Amino acid sequence: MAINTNYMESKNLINISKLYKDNVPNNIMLNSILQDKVFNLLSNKVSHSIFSSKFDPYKYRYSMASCKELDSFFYGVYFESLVKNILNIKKYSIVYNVRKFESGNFTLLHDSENSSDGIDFIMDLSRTLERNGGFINYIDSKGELLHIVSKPNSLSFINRSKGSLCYVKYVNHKQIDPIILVFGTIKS
Amino acid sequence: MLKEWINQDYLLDSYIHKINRLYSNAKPFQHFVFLDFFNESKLKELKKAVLKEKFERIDKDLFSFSQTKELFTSDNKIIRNFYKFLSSKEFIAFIQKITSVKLDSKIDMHSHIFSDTDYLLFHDDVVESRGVAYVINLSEDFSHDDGGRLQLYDINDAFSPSKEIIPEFNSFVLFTVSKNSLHSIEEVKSNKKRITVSGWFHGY
Repeated sequence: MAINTNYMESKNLINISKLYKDNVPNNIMLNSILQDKVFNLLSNKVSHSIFSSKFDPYKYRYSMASCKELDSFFYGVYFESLVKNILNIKKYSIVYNVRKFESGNFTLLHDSENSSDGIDFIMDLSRTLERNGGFINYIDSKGELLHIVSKPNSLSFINRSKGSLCYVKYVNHKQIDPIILVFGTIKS
Repeated sequence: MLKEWINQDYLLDSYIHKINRLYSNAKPFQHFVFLDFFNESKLKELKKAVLKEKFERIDKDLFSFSQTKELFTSDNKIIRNFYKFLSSKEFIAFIQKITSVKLDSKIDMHSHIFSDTDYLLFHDDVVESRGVAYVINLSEDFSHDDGGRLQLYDINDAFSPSKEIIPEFNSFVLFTVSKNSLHSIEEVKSNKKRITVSGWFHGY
């Protein structure tokens, strides 16, 4: 799967890695991660996947799908290069899933959610720039750590400290097209 | 004191007995909606007074709305008098007769404004000694399409609400707080403001 060539140059990756480490908490959003043509094909494919509803009133409401085409990116050499060069992680495994957020969807902070440390990644496969809710907040006991408003075709890495949790803000009635996000964790 | 503040029809023993039965058997959990409950002119005065209070905007994972501080601390005489009435022995005795929940004299009282896109997601209100939740609706002309309805759910089938209560002016909603009292406030979907005074009667 063809990545934006800017993210293949070692000089750029060194700068991005520095930015990632300078941010508190360590995080970075890589815009236009895939080549436009590839992104359009992939986001179209994902948006036409079969989504199944996930609902627990005290935890979340969204729908989820699996998409084989994504495996070739997340288990491929380009993603591996980003993880090695930006995050400086050599050996790792990943888990991820695709979530669709439409009007009325949300996730809530919940103690039983994964609160151990690790690196989260969020890839935005939405076909719209419109955001009426649907942003991602990381918080810990002291308050908000990070507020992410993702853009289509972006990939974010977030170093999540132990005890921090995240949620996707309720998507309100003004949202017309769905927000589609890949949520994953890198375990080293 | 009761006659001064609330619709006298609701004070008839036969009516109280009937409402108590309806409340106990209500689905998906114990509740009742009183219509035209308070003295209308007094409630309009209360609304005016409440809207002069300072509202703080709060955005969390569970909700987005604007809220006053605890109204017990208000300097406004109209609000203080209303608080005094709601926490009076007579009124709490009335609430006990309706709900069959043993209550003490402690109450909480806040005002909330829900504007376009504001919401409150699923929760049950269970915190410490909360016995009975109440909502006094102060908005006017709210209809189905404006959203802002109080939605009650069956905890075993919460995918869609079992009951939706439009915030009609001068309606007074009561429900017993328990692990079953799953509810939410539907997102407001118009430029109208959902204005309420709400809180809890505390129990033993």
